Amino acid sequence: MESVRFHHWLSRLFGFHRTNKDLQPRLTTQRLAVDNGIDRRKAARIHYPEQGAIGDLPEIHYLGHPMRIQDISLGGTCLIDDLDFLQGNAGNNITLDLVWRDLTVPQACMIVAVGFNKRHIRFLDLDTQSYVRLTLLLKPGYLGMRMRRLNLEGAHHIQVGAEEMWVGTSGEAITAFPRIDANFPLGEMTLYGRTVLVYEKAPPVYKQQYSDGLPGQRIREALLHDLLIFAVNIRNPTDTLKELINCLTDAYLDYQRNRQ
Amino acid sequence: MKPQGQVSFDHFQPKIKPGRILPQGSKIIYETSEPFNQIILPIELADLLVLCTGQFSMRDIVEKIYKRQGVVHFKSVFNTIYRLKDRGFLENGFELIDSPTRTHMIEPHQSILLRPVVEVFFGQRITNDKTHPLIFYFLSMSLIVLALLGLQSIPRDLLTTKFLRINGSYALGILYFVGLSSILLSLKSFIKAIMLLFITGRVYNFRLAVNLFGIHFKVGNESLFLLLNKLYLTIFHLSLTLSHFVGVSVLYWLSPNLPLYDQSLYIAMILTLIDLNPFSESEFSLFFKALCEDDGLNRLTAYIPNKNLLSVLSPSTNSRYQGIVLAYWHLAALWLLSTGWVLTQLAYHNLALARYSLETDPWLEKGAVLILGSLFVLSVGTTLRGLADVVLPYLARPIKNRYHRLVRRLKSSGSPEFTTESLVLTLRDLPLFSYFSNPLLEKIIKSSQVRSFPPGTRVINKGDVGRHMFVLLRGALAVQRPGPKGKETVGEILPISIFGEVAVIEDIRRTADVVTQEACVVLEIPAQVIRETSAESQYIREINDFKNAIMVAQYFASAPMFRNLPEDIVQLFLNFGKIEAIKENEVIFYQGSRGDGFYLLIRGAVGVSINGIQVKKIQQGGFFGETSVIADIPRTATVTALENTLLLRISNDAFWEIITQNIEMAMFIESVSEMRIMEDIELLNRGIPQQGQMVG
Repeated sequence: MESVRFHHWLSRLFGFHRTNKDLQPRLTTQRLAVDNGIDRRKAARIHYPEQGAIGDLPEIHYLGHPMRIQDISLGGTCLIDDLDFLQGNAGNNITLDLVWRDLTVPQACMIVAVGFNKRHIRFLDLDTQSYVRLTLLLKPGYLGMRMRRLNLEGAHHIQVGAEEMWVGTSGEAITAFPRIDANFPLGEMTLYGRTVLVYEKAPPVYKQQYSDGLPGQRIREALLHDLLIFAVNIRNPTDTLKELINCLTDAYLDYQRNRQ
Repeated sequence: MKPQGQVSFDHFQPKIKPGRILPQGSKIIYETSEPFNQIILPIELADLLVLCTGQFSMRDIVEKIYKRQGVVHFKSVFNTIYRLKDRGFLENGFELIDSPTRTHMIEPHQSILLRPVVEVFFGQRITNDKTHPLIFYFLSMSLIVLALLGLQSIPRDLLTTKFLRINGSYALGILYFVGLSSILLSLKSFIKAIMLLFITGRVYNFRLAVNLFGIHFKVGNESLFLLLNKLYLTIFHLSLTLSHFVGVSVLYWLSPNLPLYDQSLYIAMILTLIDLNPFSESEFSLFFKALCEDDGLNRLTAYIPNKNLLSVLSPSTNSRYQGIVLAYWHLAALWLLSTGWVLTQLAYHNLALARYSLETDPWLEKGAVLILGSLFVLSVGTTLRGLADVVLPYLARPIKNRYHRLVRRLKSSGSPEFTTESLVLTLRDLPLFSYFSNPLLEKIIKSSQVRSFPPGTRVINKGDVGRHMFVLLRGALAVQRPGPKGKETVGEILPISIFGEVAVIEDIRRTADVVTQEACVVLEIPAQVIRETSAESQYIREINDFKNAIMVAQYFASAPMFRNLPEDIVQLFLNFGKIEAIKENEVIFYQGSRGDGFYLLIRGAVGVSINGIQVKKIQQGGFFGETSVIADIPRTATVTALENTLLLRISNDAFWEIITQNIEMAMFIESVSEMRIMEDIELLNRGIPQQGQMVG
């Protein structure tokens, strides 16, 4: 702490506010697009955690009955309907309720495809409130979908100092550390330029000093929420990654319990 | 000329030395041992390291990265490969030819005076888990204060002292010089190691180095990447630069009766001047490099010529760094003056005695004088060479331009009489005429006329119905169009180029004026002849293909950014591209829609609008649609044809296939994309009215 304060007043005193960016990741088209929110797309879908709607994600009810959701986008949703609750055929129009934390919106929809237990639904004229809220949720989900595991096939010359490494296209990263003991972090996740350490039995904390927190400090709830959506949207997650997602989910539920 | 055994970037098969990737947030550290070395890279480049097995060429690697990630950051890849080569991470780095468009500023060359002849490594690293910025700060500040106090005690007549003449002997002087500079350089490295340990917690690569100044202990700069704070960087480099004076001052404060105080100060001063040399790798240039290097400068590195840092930086480089750049220039000028003064004084006060010594002294003394004389000449030469690196390019630019113009003129006026044979040979080099056989070309030329035009003559008038196509054989032409402020020059035509071909392909009126800038010689080919002969040619199956070939070839010949593309790449564009005619006011694509192609604007003009507001106009010869293809994002703007427009549309897959063949062109397109996206962001930040959602 002392060194942080020392650094702070000296920097101000001498006017050196900026750090040396020599070795910072450089700007790329992808980073520029992602950082400035011009990469939003209609087709991007958000996957739901196995536990169902969490955080700001909406629940979907049909005739008052909560449905299991596979994913949602601005265009529609995919519901898991094992018991054939919807009882509709492709082309049928139905009304679903989008249940947000503070608001329930009846939404006109059409069933566009019926699978074994999946019902593909298209939103007809999506309500403005839902549109705006879903648009905001798309970004972390979209970034999660772009993650892939570092493929070391054929690279006998390189060792990786981590159990697993997942890489995004604009600086997002997930590193799973080898298990040493319970006090050692399970891994670290980088999203929106913030690197966060994830522990098994403790809330995630910032790894470095950022404008919104100090090293070792609990991360903001909004960041945890986006990290969770980001993580559950990663394709083909491994068991290690699933473990990280579970830790994030537990932490998020803890945050919610504490708030209540 | 390409050195033997070296390959171009595209064909280079990089093989990285075995090592470890250490993930650090959004960055990775790549670490090798023996010698211990580290490089820090953006995490997106982890795939690049993994693919550097020595089995794949850069083209293959770029293609594989695209398949894995869906995007490729071409400039990062390009710069990273050269950085890996420069830093010795590539086993076969020597095979990679140095790109003429690349700068060495990332790793400035070390001064010849301090360049080690032999280096012996004796330690890899010392690490300390905890850093102590406070101790570092007080240690470095104490050094600065001590050095400043030491500087106060420098006698005014120091420069009049006979340099390195001890007890009437230059040989003794050289021995003293080697001994003391070895001690001072070792002391500096020792201080550096301690400071790095306190501020970064690690020091790497301990070695013994032998150079012109003796044998001394040395530590690497590898852990400096952890020192991100500019204040710490400043005091780190400043205290190291002054450390030579600290050594001498402390020594003589502790033992005031020690002899040779003047000579010791002289040696400390020379070592300090070398540390301040702005033209080579010194504390001074490393410090300014750290201050100036940012994303903006890195973006330029692929395109600026091969120069040292000082010549790369100009006040116009980046307005954010104007102050730093100006300070650098002024301090460099001050260094030149000081060094010049010291060297002049050295020569003035020592030359006569040295000459006398050469005539009268024994051979040992004569040898010592010769060594000192050589060192003096080397110092002067090094200084002048550094200065020339900076100044000459600025002086040479206008001369170079004139020379090129003269060569071009001489080339085009080589054959005063244009015979049919010489014209066949000339036209054969043009891509368009390569479709024709020699007899056909002869037929075309025989039906054509060679005409001369004085400067300022209109060869083509806007609005006239075109009946001829032209080939510029000599001189220079300007393409002019009416603009808001009268006639605007929209392009330049240089020999040997085709122009005025549009009217030949379609019966439409001329779209621009073409005016001679100097005396010109032009081959005037009647359109009717082209139409007849093109139908006869066995190489051209359909007249439409011929039209496309003309239009696309003309685009690549006239568009400034693509003018120098190799012919095989132009051919790829021709093979993969599809000509599309768009009517005025027709929308080519909408903001937020899926990016499904890259467009070259063959003819006409398009308007670019964001959120319903037109922000830009792209003219004939430009391109658009690259951002969403390169970054794999939806269209960032709506593009509408402002007039009847012809486009060459390249699908996403074809685009990637083409640009992976020419990574320099890919980097150029990437730069334009970055520039455009930053302009859009600036406009959005300024508050373009939100008429619709960006998702479209």
